[in-house]
Amino acid sequence: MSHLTGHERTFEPSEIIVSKTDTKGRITYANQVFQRVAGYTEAELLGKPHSIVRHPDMPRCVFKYLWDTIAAGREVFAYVLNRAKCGDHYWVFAHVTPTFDHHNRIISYHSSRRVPCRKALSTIVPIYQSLMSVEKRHANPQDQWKASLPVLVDTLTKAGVSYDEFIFSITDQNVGAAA
Amino acid sequence: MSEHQHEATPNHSFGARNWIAEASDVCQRAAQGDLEARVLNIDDQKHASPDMPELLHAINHLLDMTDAFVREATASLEFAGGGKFFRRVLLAGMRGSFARAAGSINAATAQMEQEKKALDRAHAQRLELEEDFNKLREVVRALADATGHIDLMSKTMAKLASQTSLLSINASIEAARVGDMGRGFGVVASEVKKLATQAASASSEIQGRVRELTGAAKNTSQTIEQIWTVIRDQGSNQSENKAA
Ligand SMILES: Cc1cc2nc3c(=O)[nH]c(=O)nc-3n(C[C@H](O)[C@H](O)[C@H](O)COP(=O)(O)O)c2cc1C
Repeated sequence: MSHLTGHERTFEPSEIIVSKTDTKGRITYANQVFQRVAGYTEAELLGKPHSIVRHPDMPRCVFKYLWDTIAAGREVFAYVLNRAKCGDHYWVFAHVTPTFDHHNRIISYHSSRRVPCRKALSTIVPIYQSLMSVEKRHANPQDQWKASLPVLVDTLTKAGVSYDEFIFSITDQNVGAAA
Repeated sequence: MSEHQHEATPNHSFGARNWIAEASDVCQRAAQGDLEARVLNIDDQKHASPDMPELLHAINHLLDMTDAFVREATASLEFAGGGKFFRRVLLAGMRGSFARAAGSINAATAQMEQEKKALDRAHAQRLELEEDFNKLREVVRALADATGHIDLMSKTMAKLASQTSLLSINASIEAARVGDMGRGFGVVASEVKKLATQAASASSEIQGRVRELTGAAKNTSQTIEQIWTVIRDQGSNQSENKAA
C-alpha cells in the first residue's frame, strides 16, 4: 500500500487539482486532474478518506493545523507532498476552505491545489524534514504532532510572522497566471 | 454523500442514468449559487453518446473554476476588509475574465494597502505633532508663571519704595526738628526719597511690561489652541475616511 517509487509527478501550472470532502474528510468529489495525477479512478476515490493520497514524509502537525483551522471556519494554505496510487509522489500548494450553509454551519470542505514553485519548496522541505525528525522520536500519532506543532509555531514566532503571512511570503503569487 | 447524489438522480429505464436531466439539474443548482453541485461517477457508467462524458466533465470544470474564483476572491476581500492586505487572489489556474477580475481585485488590494500606509503615517505624524504642541503649551505656561513671579516681585518693590519714601519724609521732619545739627541728615533723607521715587517708577514700568507679557502669553496660548483644533479636526476626518 505505502510503497514509494521515488519518482515525482507534476501537473500543468494552468491546472488545478480539486476535491471536496464531507466534514469527516471523506472524498465526495475529485476532478479529472486529481484522478489523473493521483492515478485513481473516480470510483476508487469517492467515499474514501482523503488520507488515501497521504505521503509518509508529511509531518502530522501540518494536518493537525489544517484541520484545526478549517474546523474553526477559516481557510488554510499548505504545501503538501502527496502519494499517487503507483507510489510516485507529487507536490501541491493546497488551499482548503470550509463550505457553509445558510446558517453559517460548515457542511463540507473544498480544496484547490496548484503547482508549487520550486523556490517555495526549497524553503518548505527542510522545515518538514526537521518536523519529521521530531515526530520520529514518538510512536503514538498524537504524541508526534504534540511534539512537532510547538516546533512549527516556534519557528514562525522567531520569524515574527503568522502562518498565513509566512506561506504567502514564500509563494510566488503569479505562478501559473495567464499572460 | 455520493449515494445521496444517486437518490436525487431521476433514473431512466434499465437503471441507466438520465445524464441530460442530471447535467441540467447541476447547472440549475449552480445558477442558484450552489457551487457544490457536480456531476458524479461519470467515467464508470454507460453513455449513449461518446461526447457525453466530455460534456459532463466540461460542466464540472466550469464549476471548478467558478468555485475556485469565488473562494479566492471572497478570502482576499475578507482579509482586506479586516485590514490585512497580504492575502492576494492566487492567479494560478485563472484564465481570461477570471484572471482579469483577479488582477483587478489584487490591484485594488494593493491600492488599499498603500492608502492604509499613508493614513498610518499621517496618524503617526499627528501623534508627534500632539507631543510638540504639549511641549509648546508647557513653555507658554512656564513663561506665564515666570511673568507672574516678576509681577509679585515688582509689587513688593513698589511697597518697599512707598515705605522707604514714608520713612524718608519722617526722617526729613526729624532732621528739621534738630535744626542745624540735622541738616546733613536732612540731605541724606531727601536723596533717599529721590531713590524711593525712582524705584517706584521703575516698578510701575515693570508692571506695565508684565501686563504686556501676560497679554502676549494669553494670545500665544489661544493661537496654539486654535491651530491644534484645526489639526485635530483634519485628523478625525482622516479616521472617518479610514472607517468608510
Ligand atoms: C478538503 C481536504 C483536502 C485534503 N487534502 C489532502 C491532501 O491532498 N493530502 C493529504 O495527505 N491530506 C489531505 N487532507 C487531510 C486528510 O484528511 C488527513 O488529515 C491527512 O491525510 C492525514 O491523514 P492521517 O491522519 O490518517 O495520517 C485533506 C483534508 C481535507 C478536508
